[in-house]
Amino acid sequence: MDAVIHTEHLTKQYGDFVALSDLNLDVYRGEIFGYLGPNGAGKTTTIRTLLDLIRPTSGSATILGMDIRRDSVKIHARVGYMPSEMGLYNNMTARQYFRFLARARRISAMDEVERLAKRLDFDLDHSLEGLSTGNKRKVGLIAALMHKPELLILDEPTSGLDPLMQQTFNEMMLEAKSEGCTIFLSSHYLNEVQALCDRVGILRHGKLKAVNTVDELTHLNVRWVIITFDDTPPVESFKKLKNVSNIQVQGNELKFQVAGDMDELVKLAANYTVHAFRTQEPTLEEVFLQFYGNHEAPTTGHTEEVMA
Amino acid sequence: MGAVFWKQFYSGRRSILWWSLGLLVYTVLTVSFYPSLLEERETYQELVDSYPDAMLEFFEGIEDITDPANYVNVQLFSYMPLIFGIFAILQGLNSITGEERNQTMDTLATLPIPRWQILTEKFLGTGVILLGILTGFYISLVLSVVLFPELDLGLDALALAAYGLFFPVMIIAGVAYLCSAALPLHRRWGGAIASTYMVGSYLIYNLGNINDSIKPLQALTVFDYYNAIDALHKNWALSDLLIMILAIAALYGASVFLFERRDIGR
Repeated sequence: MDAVIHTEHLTKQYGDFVALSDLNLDVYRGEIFGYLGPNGAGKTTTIRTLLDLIRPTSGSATILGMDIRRDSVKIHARVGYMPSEMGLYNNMTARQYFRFLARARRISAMDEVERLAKRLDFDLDHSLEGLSTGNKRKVGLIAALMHKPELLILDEPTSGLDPLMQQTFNEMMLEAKSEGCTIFLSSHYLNEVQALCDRVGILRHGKLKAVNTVDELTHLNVRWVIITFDDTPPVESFKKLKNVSNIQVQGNELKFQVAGDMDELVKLAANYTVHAFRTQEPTLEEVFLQFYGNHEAPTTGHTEEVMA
Repeated sequence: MGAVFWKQFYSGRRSILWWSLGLLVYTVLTVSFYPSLLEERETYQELVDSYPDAMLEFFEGIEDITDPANYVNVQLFSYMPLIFGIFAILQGLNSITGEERNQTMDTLATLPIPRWQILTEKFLGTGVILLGILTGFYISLVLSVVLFPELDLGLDALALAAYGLFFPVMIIAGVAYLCSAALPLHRRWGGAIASTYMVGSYLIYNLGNINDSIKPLQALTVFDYYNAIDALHKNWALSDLLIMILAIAALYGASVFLFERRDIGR
């Protein structure tokens, strides 16, 4: 298969701190690849290295068959990039900003900009000063798409977007994919990558731990279950279930993790009076622990919130 | 000229207006005192004659301040590299480090424009904005001469002195660009180094006039190569001009060299 992004032992160190370690990764033409990891895992470092914003300590990489260092200008012409934190020129309107970008790219893209802005319900005559996070994301998305790139590199693209806009974003990504665009997006939201991506790479402490298809992740199917009983929860009965772990009791509420099938669990709960039955998506850290066990647990105890 | 140049110019266009207005007020006000100085020539001369020799040497030209060229040099031009230097330092720091801190450099550096070109267009943008401000300064001088004809100076001499400021100020801008290119995100350090060079140049040059042990260091300062008196008398040495052009080119070249090789901060 044709690798649009190819890295070999790509490493970035800051003194003794290894931000990215020995990354070997292929992202294939036409796929949406999710780059998943908690904050500080090395996602942004990878992206900024690929785009020649920062230089690798060792290793090499190609984008669209071109060397990321030697051919960075040619690569930038064919790639759309949206940074995780979008800096904008406050003394410009959005229209002036996109004109500037089009001029810098030596293209006439204002028709496409108008189309994208309409799609995202964004006013191009809005000053860039004081834009909300969501509107900044829209500016970033238009800037990344306006020149119809072959590869889109998006760093945490949906943070700050409301659910409706997230839906529009997903649709736009799927459209771009159907037009042959390859998409590399980083996220720490599991459900975001599940909804969009063909394959997912899981990064942790600067190391790529796994590359899986989304189906493989979905089959793992770990989630939290919270049951509110009429009386004291029957903890012992639930402890006997094979796929249940991390049981916690608070008053009449029983909270635990379930991996895989819920049939036995639902049948057991049906024997009692249940006031409420809720499930919750696991955090990325929890999925990770399910994959790799406790020996890989983070030393800081830090966990990530996952969107409901 | 490319998009980055026009962006730089667009961002600085208001600077030209505001700096020009400020300089107009300052210049006209300063020149407006000249007629009364002429009327009180003897009193002033007595005052100046009472100054210690070191002070007369520190403030070059003050011994005959009623001479029009000496007057505008002491009252205006001797400070101008410092005043314009503030503009130059802000431009140099904002152009790279400022864009990094505002996180706009990530977008800029992922456009299909090589880094050397980004820096070059920004550097040229700074130069063009500075020329715009110097034009405002020159117009202020012309207006002052028209309003106060006692200040008998030719417009060509004033043009040479005013536009001649371009070179020392671009050297200061070059130092700020170099700091910005060498020290990612360290705007304060960059500002401190460039400001120290600018103010240090002024002090070293003037102290060098009264202290022989400091004199050799004058060659490192911009004031050794730009002196409005020489420009106003139209006997500015071409070698001084060439040295300043070479210094600007060297600072620009070093900035490009460093900026090409370092990580973009954020």
